[in-house]
Amino acid sequence: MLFVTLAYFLFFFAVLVLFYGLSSFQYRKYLLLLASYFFYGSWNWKFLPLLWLLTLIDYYAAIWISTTTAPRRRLALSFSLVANLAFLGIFKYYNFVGENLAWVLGKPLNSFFVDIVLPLGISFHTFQSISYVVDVYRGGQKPIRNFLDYALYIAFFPQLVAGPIVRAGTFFADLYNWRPPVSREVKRGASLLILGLVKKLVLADNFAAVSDNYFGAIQAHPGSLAAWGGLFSFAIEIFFDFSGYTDMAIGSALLLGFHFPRNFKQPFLAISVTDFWRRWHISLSSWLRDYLYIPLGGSRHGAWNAYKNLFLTMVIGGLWHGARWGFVAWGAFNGLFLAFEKATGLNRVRERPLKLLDLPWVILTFVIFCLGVVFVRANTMREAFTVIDALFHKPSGVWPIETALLVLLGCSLLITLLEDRGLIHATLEERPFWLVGCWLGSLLFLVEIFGQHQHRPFYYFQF
Amino acid sequence: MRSDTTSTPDGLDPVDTQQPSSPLFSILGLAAIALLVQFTLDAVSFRTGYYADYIEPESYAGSYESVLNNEGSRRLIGSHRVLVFGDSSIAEGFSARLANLVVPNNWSFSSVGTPGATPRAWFYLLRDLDPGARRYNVIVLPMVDYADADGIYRPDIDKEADRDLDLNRLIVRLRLPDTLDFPFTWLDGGKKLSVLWGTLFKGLVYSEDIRELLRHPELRLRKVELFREHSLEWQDSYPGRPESLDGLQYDFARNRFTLPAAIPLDIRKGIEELPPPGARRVDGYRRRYREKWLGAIIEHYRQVGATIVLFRVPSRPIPIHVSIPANGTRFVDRAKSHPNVVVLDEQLFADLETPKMFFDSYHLNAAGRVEFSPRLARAVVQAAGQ
Repeated sequence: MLFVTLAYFLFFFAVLVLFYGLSSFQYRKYLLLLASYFFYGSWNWKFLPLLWLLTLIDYYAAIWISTTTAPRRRLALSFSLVANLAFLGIFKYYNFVGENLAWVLGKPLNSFFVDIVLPLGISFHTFQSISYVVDVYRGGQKPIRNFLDYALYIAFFPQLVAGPIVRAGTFFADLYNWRPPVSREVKRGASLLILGLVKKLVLADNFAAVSDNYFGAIQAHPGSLAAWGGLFSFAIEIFFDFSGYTDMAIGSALLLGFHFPRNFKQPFLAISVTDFWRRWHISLSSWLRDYLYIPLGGSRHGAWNAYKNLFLTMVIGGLWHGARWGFVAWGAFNGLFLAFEKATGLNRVRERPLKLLDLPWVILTFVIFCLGVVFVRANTMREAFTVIDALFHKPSGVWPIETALLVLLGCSLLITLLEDRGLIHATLEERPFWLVGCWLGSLLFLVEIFGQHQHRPFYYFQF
Repeated sequence: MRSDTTSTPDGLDPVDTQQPSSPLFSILGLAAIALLVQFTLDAVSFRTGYYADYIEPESYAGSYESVLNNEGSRRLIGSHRVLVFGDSSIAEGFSARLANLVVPNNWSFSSVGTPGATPRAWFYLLRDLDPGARRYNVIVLPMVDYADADGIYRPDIDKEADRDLDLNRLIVRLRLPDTLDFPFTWLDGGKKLSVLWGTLFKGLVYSEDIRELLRHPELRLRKVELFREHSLEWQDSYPGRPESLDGLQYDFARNRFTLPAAIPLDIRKGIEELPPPGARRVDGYRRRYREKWLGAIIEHYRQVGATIVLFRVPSRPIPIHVSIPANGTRFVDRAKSHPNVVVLDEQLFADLETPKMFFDSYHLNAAGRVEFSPRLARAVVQAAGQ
């Protein structure tokens, strides 16, 4: 059940009616849990037992950690981590490892191949579980004693399949102090839900058509203009695809009275790669910082160790995105830039509205991002280098992006700039309901006319 | 009312804690206003008819509109005005101009055969073309068989009731009250829902057309103008396709086609995919579909006493022997009980189902058109003139 389908909206509408129709919050929690399992089961019900098993393991591991002595606490933590990572490893990385092992042994690459279906959202709910158990181990989070509450934390449908990765503290603060959303939250939630729809169907999917066309037959589209156009389209596609999904997840949760963390903060207005990673998929970046970079040593043991840890964190983060060398290369590419910026002092982070003088840095950061995602989108490393090679030639070939699409992109850039100055949400939420309704209706009309209605899955679902 | 501020975990602006009367009512209210605004914008854009004047003339909707407008603007003469419906088998195989050459002066034939058009599409076209059922005296409806056999086409397009393209074809014709019944004539639940949404918000169906218009606006305007000026003339003077399948052989015993080398690949593929002659299953889908839509057309003309002529159209380069016995439950058997319905002999045009009369697996060629058009006209005059 994709967020962008009518089926999801009908499902969500039914959940809302039942949720607010129930008098006891206890029953509402049960309803959310049932709805979440229904939502997950509608993809593939066969993976529900796996989700239940991991939920059970981490629930008891956390309780074990909190009730046992020091050596066994570590054992309980290890047990939970091994279980989570083993499932993730088997489902996501088995064939990748097998293929590389076969290559090393000089056997046919499919020698160890097993036809494995990746359970939807496993990368996200595994990270969420790990963060919970580690937080309990570190003492920053009390173990949850109610199994169904914990199960809801893992399975809550707005974030189950592709994040944002919600920390236990945030979720349970909402769950145990639940209050219905206030007027401004209702307006914001509904706006995010529809804005996400616009981002996905109008922008991401239209740009996806251009990038698919280019990357589907790179040799058929020679010249640097075609390469830049295809790459630019892919960069725009993944941003609007994922931030659209996140907006819809945050909006859905907000309408149910839950506050998810912000996951994107105008990343294409970043002034450095460091700044970019504080604005792009923030819940993952902060997860990698707290549960990988810092445990690796962070910047505690000198500059070189800090660079090494940054690099390693990004490589592992790249591999988390997908079991391909392209993702490893992408992670390494970003890791190198982060380390370079740290070493040279170029790791500036912008906390203020954008200025005109920032523009060259913004463009440079965007170009670096585009160069990095070549490795993500290209099917092979050879293809990736072919594209990079094509980029650095004098203008030739056919520019693939239509004017109408660029106009839409221009409008969204304008909105992003306004958002950067905090003007969009604040202004909208102060307006009366009827005016907000008119704005949302206009957006829906935009989706109706300019949206791609083939229901292309969200890009991040494959992670 | 109490109002204060608190920060949110998402790190955005502080929000006031002013409670709405009920979040559900607020959410439903917002949704209702948003949908109403969307509907209003959609209605202003697409229900007023202005956009329909500029849709791509060769799209499903555009070609259907073109046929409808041409037929609507045609000045009918004579006391016997005949309209022949159909899909591409009629568009390719029947010429009203050739038919009019062989019928008495007080008879006039016209045709609204359109590639891919289904009986459901015919009904909605007729509803606008002849709302009072006074424009025509005789309506001629082709059928590919009388047995109501399912599985005559490929399985994926076999259930005519579930053909997606009917929504695209009829989008201009659909009115708001149609939202209550049109989507529910589909069988598949998911399709019902998407058709309902498309009927309500027409922009969903037009979106591809709009994008194409924005890509090449000048080209579209020129094309629309060109079609407005000439499509009637093109339609009337269309001679049919000159190619032929002459040389095609079918081995009934071994169920194998032998094709001449000159036949293009796509046509070759179409022929090889033809289901073999012989037994067909009858699941009842086609019968019920015919009862619904051909029945609706019969009903439309029942009060005024216009004649409905049903006939089997030549539709294969080899004869189809559908071995399903007539047991009185077939659509044609029931239709015949209406006093204004005439059913022509099923084998009347069977002799035209030969390779030299066809250019592909389904359509008569120019020679077939020349042969078939006057024969159908004479048969209709004979059947309906009595």
